[in-house]
Amino acid sequence: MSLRARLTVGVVLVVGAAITLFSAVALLAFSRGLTGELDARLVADSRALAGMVEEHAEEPWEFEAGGLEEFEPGPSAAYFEIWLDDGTVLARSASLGNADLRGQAEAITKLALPDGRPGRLRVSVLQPRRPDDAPVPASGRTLTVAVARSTDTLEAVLLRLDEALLGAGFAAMLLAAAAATFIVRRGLQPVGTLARQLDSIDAQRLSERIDRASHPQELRAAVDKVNELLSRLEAAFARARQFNRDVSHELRTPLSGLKMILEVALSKDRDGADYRLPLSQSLRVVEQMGALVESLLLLSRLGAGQVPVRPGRLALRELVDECFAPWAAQASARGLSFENRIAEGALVEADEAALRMIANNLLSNAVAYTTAGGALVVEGAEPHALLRVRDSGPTLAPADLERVFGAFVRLDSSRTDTGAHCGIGLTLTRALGDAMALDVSAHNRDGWLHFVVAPRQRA
Amino acid sequence: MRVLLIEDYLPLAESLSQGLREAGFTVDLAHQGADGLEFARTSPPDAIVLDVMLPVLDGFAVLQALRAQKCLVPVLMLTAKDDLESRVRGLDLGADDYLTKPFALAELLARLRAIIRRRYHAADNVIRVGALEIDLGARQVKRGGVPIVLSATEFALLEYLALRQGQVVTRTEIWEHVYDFASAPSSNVIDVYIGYLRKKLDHEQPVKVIHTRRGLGYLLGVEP
Repeated sequence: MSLRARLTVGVVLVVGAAITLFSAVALLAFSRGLTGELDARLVADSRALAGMVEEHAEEPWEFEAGGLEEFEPGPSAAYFEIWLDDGTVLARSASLGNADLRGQAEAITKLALPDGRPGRLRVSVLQPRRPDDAPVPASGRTLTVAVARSTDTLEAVLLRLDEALLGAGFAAMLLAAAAATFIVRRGLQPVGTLARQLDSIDAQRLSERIDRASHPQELRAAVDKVNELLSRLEAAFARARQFNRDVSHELRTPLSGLKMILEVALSKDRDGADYRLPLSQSLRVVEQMGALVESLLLLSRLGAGQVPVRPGRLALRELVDECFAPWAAQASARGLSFENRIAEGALVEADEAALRMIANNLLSNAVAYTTAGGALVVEGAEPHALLRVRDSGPTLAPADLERVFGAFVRLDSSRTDTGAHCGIGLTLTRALGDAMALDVSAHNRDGWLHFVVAPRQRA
Repeated sequence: MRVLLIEDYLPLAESLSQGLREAGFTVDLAHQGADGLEFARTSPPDAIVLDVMLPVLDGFAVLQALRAQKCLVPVLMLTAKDDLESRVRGLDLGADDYLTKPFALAELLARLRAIIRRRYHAADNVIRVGALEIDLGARQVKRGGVPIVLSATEFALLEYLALRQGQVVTRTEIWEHVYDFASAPSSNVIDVYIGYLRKKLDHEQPVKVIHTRRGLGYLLGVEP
């Protein structure tokens, strides 16, 4: 159900409930008021009728009827009956005919009138009127006066009121529904405007922002959040585009080498043996490209959380020695010394394949970039450093300590020289660390360049 | 023609220099910018093929240094980046042409010939000296419409003389710019090849095109 429909229905329901409640209260108040008025009239009638009875000491009491047209038989007749305290009937209205008006004394009750109409009955015990010149004191005897009147006028008024309220209520509901529809539509217009503005922002227009000032106060928080989201999206898209550009540039260099080797090989007829060199050169280039593609794929899978981490207890010293072995010849050719200072039997908890890749990357970088004749030291299994690979320099410029972890960042701007360092080794190292909740960072200390793999501190 | 190739990516550098040599160029190969600058200073080439992404001193810096040294050798830049900014920057710094990796050898050769031609003020690939017609692109020579077959070294020598037709070319210049001679045992080999060319081009022709300027060098042209 749309927000607009919900709001409209909600407003109509509330208005309907308010009208119903108002009608009920109004009807009750009117009913009480009219009934009270009728009851007061019955009381007044009773007093008036009692006043028409004159007490005599000796003679029988006398009822002086007069002006009692209302009590004559007819379609809107009222009824009365007066009894003496001995139960004998003193007087009764002509409208009563043979019927009788009995009821509870000093109370008002509903009854069906002798003519069948609904009515109300008041039975009162009253004193008769005493002549002003009565020679003897009053006897103290009482009269019972019963008066009944029809309630059909009252009922008709209430019915008409009921109908009027119902009609007015229904009209008010229709009006409320129309007004609610209009107001809700007007009220929700900024939401529609915001939706249209958002709709117009596609991947090519992520630099656009929603103007918060053009939206009402209530939507500004949402607009701010949307703008923040757009900023993050824009940055992510820019990173992805840059990464794609970098990848294509990275592949262009080996691709250009491969193309040139093959073009030159095919540029003229050669002896069979003369094709061996270009073919083996091509194979090397293809292997480099394959390694780059594999690294990119791993990086992408790490980013998507698709690389399972299986921690186990690893003998770190042996692992480092094994990882250094492939680089030992290059290190010795460059006159680099290597020292593994990790304690014998030191165990660490990590995913073996991931830690091997990390150690391999850090060691191969150190072997390639440490100034010839320098030193490499590996430490680890410490509380603040699971693994530390440090070399005698050159150290990095402070701005480059973080930058080296960016994809395809080469500090000397060279692309691939021999192709051994494809420019994503440290990016991959950091991503592997992330997968195991390990921080990989670079530091300059006392002229040495340190690469530290440390357990992530919980914030 | 001597070409200096400055490229750090070994598979490309090696195959491209082989391709250039097989196309008749003499090639100096440098893997770093500084080495390239040294080559350009000690044996000035006819053209430089310069990669942008080089270790330590990048291609732009090399180009800047070359132009600062008043070295006006035409430069063709190679790059993996094809963005406008890089192209404009290279051309503004004094590059003569630009190629984006990966490129075709044939295109690189054509562009290289074009910038070398411009350097020697030749209008197109076909240079005419009297009845002699030298097609630098097709590497063919005709005299009076009759094709003449030349060896690679002979053609390289004739090409250099043709680009500088009407000028006296010294033995040292030939030594520095023409294929193979640098590795020859003595400068006498130049005279030997001039002799071969004369035999193929001027033999029994009433109008000679190769002339010796005693004590100076050689001249390709039709003398009145």
